[in-house]
Amino acid sequence: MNPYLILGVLPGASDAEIRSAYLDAIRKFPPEREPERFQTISNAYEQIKDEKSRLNYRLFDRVPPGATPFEVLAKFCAASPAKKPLDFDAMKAFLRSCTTT
Amino acid sequence: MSKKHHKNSRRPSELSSDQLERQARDDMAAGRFRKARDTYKILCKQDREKHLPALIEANRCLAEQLVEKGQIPEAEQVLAHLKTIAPSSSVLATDVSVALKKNDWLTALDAALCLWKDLPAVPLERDRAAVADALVLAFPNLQETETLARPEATDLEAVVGALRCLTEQRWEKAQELLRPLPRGSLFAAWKILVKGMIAFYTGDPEKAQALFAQLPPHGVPVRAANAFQLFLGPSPSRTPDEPARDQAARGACCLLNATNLAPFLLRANQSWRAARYTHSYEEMRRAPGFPSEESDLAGALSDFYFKAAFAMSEAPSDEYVEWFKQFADSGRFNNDAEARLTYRLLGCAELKNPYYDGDIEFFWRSFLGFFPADDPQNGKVTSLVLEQVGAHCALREEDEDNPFFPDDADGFPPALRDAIRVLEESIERDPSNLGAYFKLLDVYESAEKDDDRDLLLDRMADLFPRDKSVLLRAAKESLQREAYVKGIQYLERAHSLDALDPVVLQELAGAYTALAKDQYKKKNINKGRHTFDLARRHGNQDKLNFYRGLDFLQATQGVLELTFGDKGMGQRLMTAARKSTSSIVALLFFAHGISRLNRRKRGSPFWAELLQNRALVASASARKEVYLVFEYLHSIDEDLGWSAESEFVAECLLPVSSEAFSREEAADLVPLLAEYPQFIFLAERITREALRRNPTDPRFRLYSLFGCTSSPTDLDTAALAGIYHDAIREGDTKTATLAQGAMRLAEDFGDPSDEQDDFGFSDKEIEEMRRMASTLSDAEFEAFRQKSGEIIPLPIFDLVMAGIRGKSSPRPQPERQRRGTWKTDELDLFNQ
Repeated sequence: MNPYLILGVLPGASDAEIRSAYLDAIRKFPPEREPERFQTISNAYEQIKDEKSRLNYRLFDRVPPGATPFEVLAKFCAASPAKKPLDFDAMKAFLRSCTTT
Repeated sequence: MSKKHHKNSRRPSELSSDQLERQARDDMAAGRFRKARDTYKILCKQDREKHLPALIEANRCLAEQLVEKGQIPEAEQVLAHLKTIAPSSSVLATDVSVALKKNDWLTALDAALCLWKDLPAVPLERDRAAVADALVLAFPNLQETETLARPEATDLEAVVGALRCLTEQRWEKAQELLRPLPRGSLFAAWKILVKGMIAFYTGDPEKAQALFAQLPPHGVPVRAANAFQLFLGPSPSRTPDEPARDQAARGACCLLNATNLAPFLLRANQSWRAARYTHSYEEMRRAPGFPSEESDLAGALSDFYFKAAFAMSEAPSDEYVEWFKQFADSGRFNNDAEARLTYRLLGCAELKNPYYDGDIEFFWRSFLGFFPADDPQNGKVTSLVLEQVGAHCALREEDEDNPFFPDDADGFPPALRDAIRVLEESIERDPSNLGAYFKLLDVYESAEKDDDRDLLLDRMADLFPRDKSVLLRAAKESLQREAYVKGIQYLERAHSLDALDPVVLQELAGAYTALAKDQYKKKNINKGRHTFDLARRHGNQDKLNFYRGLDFLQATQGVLELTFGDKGMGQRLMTAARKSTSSIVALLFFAHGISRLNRRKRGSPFWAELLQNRALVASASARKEVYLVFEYLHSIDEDLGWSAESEFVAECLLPVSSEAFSREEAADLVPLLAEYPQFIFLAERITREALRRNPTDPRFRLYSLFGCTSSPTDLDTAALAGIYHDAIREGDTKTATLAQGAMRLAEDFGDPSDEQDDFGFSDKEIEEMRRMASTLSDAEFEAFRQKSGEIIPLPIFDLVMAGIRGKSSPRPQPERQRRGTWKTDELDLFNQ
């Protein structure tokens, strides 16, 4: 999955911002409590911790973020930082879209 | 086109009532409502009272299905028929659900209000849910719901109000509005949904998960919750079926503000699951703005499509990449991002290819052509790309007689010439790209352009004065060409950057010792002594470190004094070393070896003393020390002729095969011994003895199997499988891992239908490699081995070469790379 998304930083973030987000994330998911999540966060950090890593990730990374488009969606949703609610009209549209399968 | 037939699709007249009923139920469960309806019609003729409710249900489901598919006239027909057979409440309930599916909120509201008045005393759960959904989703004003009784009207107002508060992030107000709704309220499910959404948005995923799990299985709330569920991870309580998953995906897109992607994503996913991968991409790229390099959902999906090839098996991956090649040729890109992503995919696919293909430079240069020229990272990106391309160019192998790739006039291979051209361009585009310098160094080495390499190293040391890796590499190259002083200067600079780095300390001790030896040999004895003083500054107490261990440094100097300098001083140094060492046999063996290496054929003064002390080698650690000293000495000069020393080591280790020894001791020694032809008999003896003591021991059964196998094709996979299972049962994971690796190799090499193994070599190519390897000298073979290591893992390479390089020639290792540390036995039995 996209390391920027895992760490909750924008692609243009600086080294310091990325490190700060990384430290926040590992404080939230320490290895003794959430070993898998911690590993994911650490791997994400390694991929984008400095400019060269970020460029290498952008140019040469070959690991797809899922096995099917739906899995990508599910992982994207799970990794998305807390969202703000939709506005009222969008919420209406969302709920109304749930009448069909 | 032929119609699909189900297993139970016998003519209805041939079936009994029970069979028909079962068939109809199956059809209902599978969503084949038309077929179910037809069957229930037949059943109704037999027993109308019993089967009429089911017939009504089938008609209702069919009508809803037809509406969802957009077949409105057909749905109207079904509804008209339904009205002739169903009670009014059932017709109204169908009207509600059909109107909801048509997104006709006002009709749904009217029908729901009528139905609410008309509902039987104990209404169906599903009908109640449909009414609640229709009332909420109409988002009516009070006048529109005046026919609704008091409590329901209040509850509806509360739910709609809470939803509005939720969207305005007024969490407490929303909770407050919902609080009065009783559990039995018509809108109870909506209350749970809104509370779950509040928990979700306020960062309490556990609570949201728990609330969503309480929702009843019918109606809009549970479907909406399924979309939220995607953000919360897999639900422990519920696994949605396929239509529900599609609906959840559509809802999740909505929540991500990516509603426009949803219809394309659903179709693309279906195609992907049907293994129609490129069709899936074609579906997806119809979405507006797709593909994208942003960090949103479109970006994640784009990332997936342009990396998926690397997770596929070979044939579909090749097909997928080939499609993108043709797509690139067509040039019909949606946007520049698609062009970049396509050429990146093609370039990465070539980088993965162990064989050089001229297309790689074209693909990556095309990628760069679409990279914005004014992007501040353009220089760095270009440099990194060219660094990879240049390194890959060097892999190209040309046929010597190929007229299309003639060597230069000076015999310089064009592949290396191209690699140098591209790497120099890489450095030019970003002079701070250290990786490109290192790759250029490697190419100079392959091309044996030593002068260019040394000049580049000097330049690197100036450009990157604070980079340890540069200084260490410069030192290594200097020391290899015996420019000891220069090498030491580089190491001292590295040492000043990090005084505690053990690698630098080790290199420094080794470099000073090498310089001192040189000075002693040149009869500059005083200088040599001074240099040893400097070497000792970096010494340590590690009794098995032949570079930094103070005993070994003292012994080395002692030997050099005895050979080239002051014999009295040499004796004193050796006496001091003898006193301080904790392993006299290892020290004497080391001194004997160093002495032989310096005196060549003149023998050594320590041999007799060493033989006298052989009895002291009585413990597992002492045996290993003796073995490691031998390994170290042999690595310095394997041509010297070490037969007497080999016999000595064999005699020291021989008791292991007959006297008491622990399983661990034996298990450690066997793979070490198997590296040298002169010790193989000992490895076999120990294995036999271990199996005599415990015939079922998986580790030694595995060693025994390896011992009698000269090639991976001869491996007995059934025996390996047995060993693997026994090892798993006994919790011996190391043996299990070894057996599993060997099984995989045996399968790779043993399948005659498989033309290529996992690393892209055909059987013929492997045979050719083995034949060629048998003709190489040890040094040439080691160079070949190291180069192959860039393409395939070395343990696999060694196994491919098993029986060819084999037991007659252990692989040489440069002296400076050897470490006096214990080795693991991972796949080492194959390193022969």
